[in-house]
Amino acid sequence: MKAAKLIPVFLFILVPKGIANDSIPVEQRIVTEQSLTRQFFTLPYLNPALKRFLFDFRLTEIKAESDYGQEKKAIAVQEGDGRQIYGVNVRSYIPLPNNCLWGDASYHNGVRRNLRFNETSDASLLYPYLTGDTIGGDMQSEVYSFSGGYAGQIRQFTWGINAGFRATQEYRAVDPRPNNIASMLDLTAGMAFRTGGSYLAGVAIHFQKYKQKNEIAFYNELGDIKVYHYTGLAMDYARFRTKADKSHYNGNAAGVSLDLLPQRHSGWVATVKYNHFNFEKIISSLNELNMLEATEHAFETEAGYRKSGKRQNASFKLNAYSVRRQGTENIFGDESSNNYPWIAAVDQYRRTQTGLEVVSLYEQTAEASVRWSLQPALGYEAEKERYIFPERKTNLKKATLAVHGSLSKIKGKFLFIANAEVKQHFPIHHEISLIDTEIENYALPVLYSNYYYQSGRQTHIELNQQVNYTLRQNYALFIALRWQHGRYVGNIAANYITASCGIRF
Amino acid sequence: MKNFQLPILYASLSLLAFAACKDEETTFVPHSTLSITVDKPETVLSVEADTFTFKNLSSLVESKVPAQGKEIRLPVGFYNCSYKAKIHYQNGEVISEGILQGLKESIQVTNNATPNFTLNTYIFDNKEDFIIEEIFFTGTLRSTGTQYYGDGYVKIYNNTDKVLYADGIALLESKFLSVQKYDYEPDIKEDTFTVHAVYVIPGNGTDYPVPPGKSLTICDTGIDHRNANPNSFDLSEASFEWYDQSNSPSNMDIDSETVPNLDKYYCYTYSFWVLHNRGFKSYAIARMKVDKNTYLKDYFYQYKYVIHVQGGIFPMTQEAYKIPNSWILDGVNCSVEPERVWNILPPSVDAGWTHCGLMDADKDRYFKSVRRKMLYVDDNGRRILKDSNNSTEDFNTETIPSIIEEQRSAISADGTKATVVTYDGVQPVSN
Repeated sequence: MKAAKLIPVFLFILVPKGIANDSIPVEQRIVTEQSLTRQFFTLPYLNPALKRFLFDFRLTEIKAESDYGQEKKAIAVQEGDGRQIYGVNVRSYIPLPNNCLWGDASYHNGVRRNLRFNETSDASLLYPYLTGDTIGGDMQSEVYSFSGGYAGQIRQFTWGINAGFRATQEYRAVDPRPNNIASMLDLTAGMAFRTGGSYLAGVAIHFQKYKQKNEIAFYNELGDIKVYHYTGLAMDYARFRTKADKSHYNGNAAGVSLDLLPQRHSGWVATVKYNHFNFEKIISSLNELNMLEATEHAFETEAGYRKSGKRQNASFKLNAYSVRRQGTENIFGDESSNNYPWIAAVDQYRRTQTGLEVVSLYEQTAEASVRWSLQPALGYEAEKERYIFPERKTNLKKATLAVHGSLSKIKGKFLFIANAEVKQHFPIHHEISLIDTEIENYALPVLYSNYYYQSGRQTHIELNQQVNYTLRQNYALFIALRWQHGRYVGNIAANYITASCGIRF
Repeated sequence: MKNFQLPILYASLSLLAFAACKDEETTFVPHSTLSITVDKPETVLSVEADTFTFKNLSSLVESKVPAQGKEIRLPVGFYNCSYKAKIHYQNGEVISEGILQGLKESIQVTNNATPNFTLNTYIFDNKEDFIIEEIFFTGTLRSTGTQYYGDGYVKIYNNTDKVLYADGIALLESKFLSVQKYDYEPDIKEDTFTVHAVYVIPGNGTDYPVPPGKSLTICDTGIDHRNANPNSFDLSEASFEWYDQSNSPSNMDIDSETVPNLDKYYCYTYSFWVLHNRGFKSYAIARMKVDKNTYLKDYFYQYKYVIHVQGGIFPMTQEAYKIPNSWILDGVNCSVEPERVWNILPPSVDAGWTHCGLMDADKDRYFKSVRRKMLYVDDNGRRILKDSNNSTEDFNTETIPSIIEEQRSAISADGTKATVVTYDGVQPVSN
């Protein structure tokens, strides 16, 4: 992609600023940036005005990475059973006396393995309204993204703006041949002001524009391969099953968040965020037929308290979310001249996801060069999915228990950072009820398979090791290795390994 | 104190947010009550076990509803409705048992209008005349894999227990495609068949007798095609062929010396006619009630429709010929499932449709035909074929053509030969 060639240009702009002298040694900046304390609260810093208070030092990272993963059996059939992706990434955070700059650019290229019943990119974003077929296969994937922001201060007020763009092209060179081009533009503007006490109160508005062109072609005329437009819980819009297909998605999102952040290191932290997302699916090959639309309301909150001392940090927080997606299918009358008159709209799909998690953190700097952290978490997640007619529903409830530990040590010119996390999902309740399963339906096995893994016990382990080597005061080379392991019912294992190396300064 | 107020404010906002997100359990698709008038023929004396079957075209879910039951309520959607009943009816001087059936397509059930329609029904009665036994429209392939033209055929069959005369029977192909539909004005679909090929068996009424259980083969070109394409077969002993005097020197038809020609009333093409080899047309046989000149004068049909495309709206005017449905002895709708839009022939002629090929331009369709199912072989060795006025139920699809079976000719481009002879493409002939 042409845009990928812009990454060196982006890098050129950032690097001279990053090279500027900084009084804090690079290894200390890395330790601070990667400490669990700094990563503990995330939502407030989505407000670009508050991102200015994330760090008080500059840090730039340039890295190349390789990501390889394989699942013994696809846990989510439509997402495939593995991937092999290579990429480069540049990110930088540059605080200045009264303002702050940050930026991120990346390019990834690779293949996602064995996707089935899905030829659509960004499947989780557009679920359940995917386009698919029974054949599927590997999908070549190319993603580039840019984002950047600026925050400035005027007296008691801080304002900020962040803009990002992500473009994806995914395709397959054998039948069936999807060719997807997706883009996401997001824009966030925020402001914060100092309250009478020792807090910053912030508000941010978020906008997103999403588009995807989703085309499927078959060069081989042999066989009976149909393209399905799925509508949820193994249903599809059977009237528009066809051989080849051109469709596109148009989506818009808008949201608002309210934030609270202590001006100093200790105090209450809270964010309440609401986001409204809607998209429509249009079949281009049927005279721009507006097949359906989906609307999503999402509430998300993060609130807690953090206390930072010289050698000890402690925090706790409550995370909660509730996301409700509703899908409306348009019904069309008798076709004439490839023109389908709209006759009705029917709300057919509902999905409600809720979650609650209590997390605490203790971090200690044992001596000047050693820092360790422990972060236990207890959570509850529920997902209810329903297709209205014919009635189909699934209901999943589970508890989660996680422990995350981190250790960093500086020894000479080396900085070692190790992270380990274990997370266990305990099913509390699961239920599936399907009516009219005798109709011609190729997606039922997919639904059963996904439900089987989601409703069972899961164990996730993540180990992340990295070694940094300080070249000079402001430069460090690093190499990192991350292993993610998942174990599902039926002793099905999923393993993902990410190796990266680069330079930080 | 102010610091203490902030967590309270946060908690209030969060509770408000989660309360707003509570899932509503009372989710349903709105239903509408249908008002259906079943229009029965006057000869129907009694009806039992009459049932509507509604097929939702979006989800393919079928709902069977007793016609004599309570009010019919359906979820909002787009449906086809079929009706079937066992009846007793006045059949001349006697009372006979029979089947009453009907089909209404494209029913719009919306929540702001009560669907109200009349469903016309037809007694399935044996017309005691010819039926279409087989249509071989896909053709064969040369060994190079290219399409070979000229060996298409239609078989008509005497399914009665008496001798029938084929004189004056027309072979008809629809002008419209089952994969493309416009709002034709004037709309004459219910009682006439719009055609663009009309070829008639000659004769004075008794020239071409066909005994019970026998067929006539009406073919494109009545020659031994194996000379031009070793993968094809011999049609030099067919009953009739349709021959066209082509105006295109590069596309000339062959006039067989051994097979008599049909009387060409009309055909749209200036070169030569071949059956639609992707199977998007409907075919019928009819007994012509008028002579050629009268037909060409009185049954001309000019119609209008509008094409809506992204580039604009284009009014169109077209011309064709029409055949009254009352002349039709039998008809068969053909299509392919992913592309099918409508049935060209109305349910009074064919309440279903059949296919060769599972999708448009399916390369697996070659060397295959649609063949009428056999019910049984009677004591005289005569096949009794199924005829319920519904080609979906009456025909075996994608079968090896009967002539290929009989001649043991090729069933694929690589020259593999047929090995089994069947009654109907499925049931093997026992030796």
